[in-house]
Amino acid sequence: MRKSNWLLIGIVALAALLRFWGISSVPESLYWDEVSQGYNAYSLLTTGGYDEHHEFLPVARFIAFGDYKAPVNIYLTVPSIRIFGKNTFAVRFPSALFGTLTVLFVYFLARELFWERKNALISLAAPFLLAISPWHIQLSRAAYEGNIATFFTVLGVYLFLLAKRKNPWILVASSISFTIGIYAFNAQRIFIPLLIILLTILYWKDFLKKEKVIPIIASCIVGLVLLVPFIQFLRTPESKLRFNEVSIFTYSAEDVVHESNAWIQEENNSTLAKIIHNRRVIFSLLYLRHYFDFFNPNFLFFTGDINPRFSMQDSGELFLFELPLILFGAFAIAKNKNKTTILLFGWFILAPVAAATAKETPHALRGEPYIPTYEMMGAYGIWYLSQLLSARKQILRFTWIGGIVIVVVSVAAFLNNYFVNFPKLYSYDWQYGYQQAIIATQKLQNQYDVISFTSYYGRPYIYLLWFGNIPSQTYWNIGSITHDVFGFYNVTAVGKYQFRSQLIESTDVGKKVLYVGAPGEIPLNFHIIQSIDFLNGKPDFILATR
Amino acid sequence: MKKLLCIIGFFLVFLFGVFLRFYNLDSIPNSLDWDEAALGYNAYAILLTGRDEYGYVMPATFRSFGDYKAPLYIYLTVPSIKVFGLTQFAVRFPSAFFGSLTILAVFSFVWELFKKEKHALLLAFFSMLFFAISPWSIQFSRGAFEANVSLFFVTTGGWLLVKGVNRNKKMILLLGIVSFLLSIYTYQTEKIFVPLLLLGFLIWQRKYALQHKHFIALVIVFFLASNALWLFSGNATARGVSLTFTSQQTTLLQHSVQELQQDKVNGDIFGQILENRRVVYAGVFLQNYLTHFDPNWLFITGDLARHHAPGMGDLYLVSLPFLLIGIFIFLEKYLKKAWIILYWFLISPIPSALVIGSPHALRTLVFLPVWQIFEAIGWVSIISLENFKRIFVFNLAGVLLFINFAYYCNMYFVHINTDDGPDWQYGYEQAVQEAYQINKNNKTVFMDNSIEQGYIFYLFYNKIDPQWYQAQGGSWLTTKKCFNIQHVYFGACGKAAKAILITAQQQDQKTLTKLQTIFYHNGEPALYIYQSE
Repeated sequence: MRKSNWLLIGIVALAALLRFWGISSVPESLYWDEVSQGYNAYSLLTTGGYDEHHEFLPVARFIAFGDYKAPVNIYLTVPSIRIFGKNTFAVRFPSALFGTLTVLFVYFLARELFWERKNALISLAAPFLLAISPWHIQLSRAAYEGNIATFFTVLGVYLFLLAKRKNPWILVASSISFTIGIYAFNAQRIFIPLLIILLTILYWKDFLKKEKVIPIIASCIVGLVLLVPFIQFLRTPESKLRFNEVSIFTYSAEDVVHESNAWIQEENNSTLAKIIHNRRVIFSLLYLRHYFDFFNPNFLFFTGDINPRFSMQDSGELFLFELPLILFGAFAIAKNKNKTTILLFGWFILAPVAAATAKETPHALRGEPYIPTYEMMGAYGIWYLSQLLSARKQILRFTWIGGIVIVVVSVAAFLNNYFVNFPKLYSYDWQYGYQQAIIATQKLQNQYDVISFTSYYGRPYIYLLWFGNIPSQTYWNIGSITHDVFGFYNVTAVGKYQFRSQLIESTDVGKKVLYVGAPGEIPLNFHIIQSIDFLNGKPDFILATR
Repeated sequence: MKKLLCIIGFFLVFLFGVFLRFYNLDSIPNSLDWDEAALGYNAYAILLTGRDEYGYVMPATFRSFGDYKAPLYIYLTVPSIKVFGLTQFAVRFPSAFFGSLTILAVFSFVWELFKKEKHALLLAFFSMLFFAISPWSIQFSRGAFEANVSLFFVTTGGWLLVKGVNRNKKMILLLGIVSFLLSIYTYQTEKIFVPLLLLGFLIWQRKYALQHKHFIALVIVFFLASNALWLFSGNATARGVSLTFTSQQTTLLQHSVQELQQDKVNGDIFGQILENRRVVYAGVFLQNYLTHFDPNWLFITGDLARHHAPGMGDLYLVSLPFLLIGIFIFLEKYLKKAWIILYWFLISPIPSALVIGSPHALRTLVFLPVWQIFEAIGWVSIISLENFKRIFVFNLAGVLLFINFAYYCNMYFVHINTDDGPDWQYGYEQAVQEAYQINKNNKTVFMDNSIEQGYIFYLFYNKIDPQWYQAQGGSWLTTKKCFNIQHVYFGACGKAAKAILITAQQQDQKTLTKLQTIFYHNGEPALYIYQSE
């Protein structure tokens, strides 16, 4: 085998190591979306194809918490649970696997994009940068739908370019891959169509040949047919629920209207003012602000996403050493002035377009589709720099050595922080303690009439189903569910477990009740049976009786 | 004919820039902030007595609110006050005046720099145009901001140095160095920025410097003269030291100290190195530095309300694509000959990054002609397009820029007074004048601590005789917790019966009767005047 192939194997192995190593305990616990996906997959597996809500093989979405989850990751988790059993590893396996595969396919994509350079350095540096990327590692180590969707996005583009260069029939595979991407995560529902438009504008001339017409039509048909269930889903009100919940256009509507009116009033309601301070203008500026958030240097290089489930707060989404590489690479790619330039920059600019409609920006997960472009630019930057210095062998050698030292130190610092400090500091955000609390409670449950379980930490029922090993068939019989005004499903009780926002109720008097609550919820005069702590030592769950 | 058009265009742009800087200068923004008031009153005191508010004779640094101000702006305001009287206009005049002159300096600088390039005249013209209408420049030209005058000296210095080297004239080089020195005596940021810039110049023109020793001599003169500042008074650097982020150890290091302890417990040597103070400081510096390239800060939000028009950043949104294209073309075509521009661009945020409160539009005002130069390069690149595309893109971009400019004018000239009243300390003028009237009737007035630095407004707007004020002790009074000027008491004073209280906080109505409320332009209450029983 050639040297570059060995290097590629090494890079993919490194990627796998960084994505699979200790995956059951770092992050320290399953957060609720992970458990929900795991339980739905488990339910499909054990009931012959019924999900948590007793729906048979849902295609377009899973109801889950009423947030209508994308289906792809759940179906991928089914075989994973079949093989590895019902545990944390199995739930996180698909994301880690496809994260590793993304690294592999970024190699193929980079090779295809910079085909005319025939340069192993570029096509190997891109997957290497992705393999060690804090952004991608953190998203690959938990069951994130977006991470799966990113894989299918990369695969789709790669297959598209392959179809252009080799066999037009590969276009059908590209079409399928894009469709799966659309099914896999909500941000991709907007991003992938935009990407397809970009690809079409760039490369339609390459496909304008007689022998290529049939494959094009075939791929269009395949894609459209596969999308039918999804399009039907889009026409239902549920599909808009989640969008409306997070969208700035609903969330900030009141503020925007207020601001617009205030400015118009300050100009005595003149017609000109009504045009200038139209709420659409303010909405556009607001949207741009959320869009620009994705280019915030603090987010990219220093603190990362403010949500500790996506980023450990101490390191940026990208390494600081990537900044000069990305700048050099962007410049060099721009200098080429070819289709690859437009494709990469187009991808780069379009990637946050969907994510910027949400109120939480910058968002590492919804912004994930643009990681590959950063790594591609970084890789090109490495090549360009080495090209610039190629005349001065001595300086080039020192730069390489210095660069490698910086990379090793940066990666080591990241890993040190991630594996040692991060789990302890943020176990609250990962809903740590549910597992321990459920197991402890189950040991005691037979002694009590009612178990009052706090809903303080959110969605306790799914943890009971998962860690309490309650089969779906049982749950369908003994679970009581209500809907709230936002359309979310609220499970209030499963058997003798009651999930309460007010832990103590007046009807408890005279019954034997086990209280499982957060620290502030248990009165001082109660008898504490057991307490469970977060990893930073702060109290988490307390089991107590009257 | 073509030449005539050029000259007409040049003057139109310049006059338009002057208009944007002087139009209703005294009433937009409608009130002075405390720094402006302090600059004004000190100049007034110098004019009448030759001493500042503290009684120092012609100081080289001005003490002001426990801080120190560079001297030049105040001395420039002296003639302005002589001519226009002690008014808002007079205090702001030097800034608007030098802001206008900077338009010409930008033209000259760019012209001198790109003289041998194909579209040099157009580049200079567009740079000048974008500078003339730049929200960033207009913002700081329409208030008494020392940094804005300082920017004039930096730009002029840059122009003169390039010109002096191009023509090999010692005299011009000397003037350039003098201009740089003046900038250092005008604003704090330049004390770090200008030496860095000059070093860059030296390396950039190293061939010339090696052949002409007088250039090196001049640079040495610069460093000696700029350090003379420190000899005059150690206070010159006090402001810088008090603000550097290393003075904020506790908050900055809190997190890393936690982790450091954990690392020590774990015996994690690697972790201990990473949480080392120096490593953390380096990280904070880089983080501060890069915040100045946050697109939201530049185009959408800005920082403090006094530093941008409401609802906008300090660069035009429409200029974003031209900036990117301009930077790209600069790197591709001009980098070798004019890398000093890129260097200027990259060192601009350094002084600001060393202190707390990044990003900061005022401390990074030296960014200025560079954004406009990049933008101009972007625009000029349209000219190399084919005929049809050129006309289309040019018109489209022109229309968009016009819309953006109109939006800016609306936001600034119409909305700044209604939206940013509190940030410009609106209401203080009325309050201190009211206090002065009451004081004339021998009644006692209290202005509590919610009215920040109220005394300087009292001195300024009531034109208190500096000689009398200095005889009372001058601003040394303000070092006390409670002090009075005439019958007006400032700071944390006790209560007295039958006295007037002026405050920004609504008070308990039982012991006090409200006499008057001073409102902002948007109708919100600013200050209250009460009478005690």
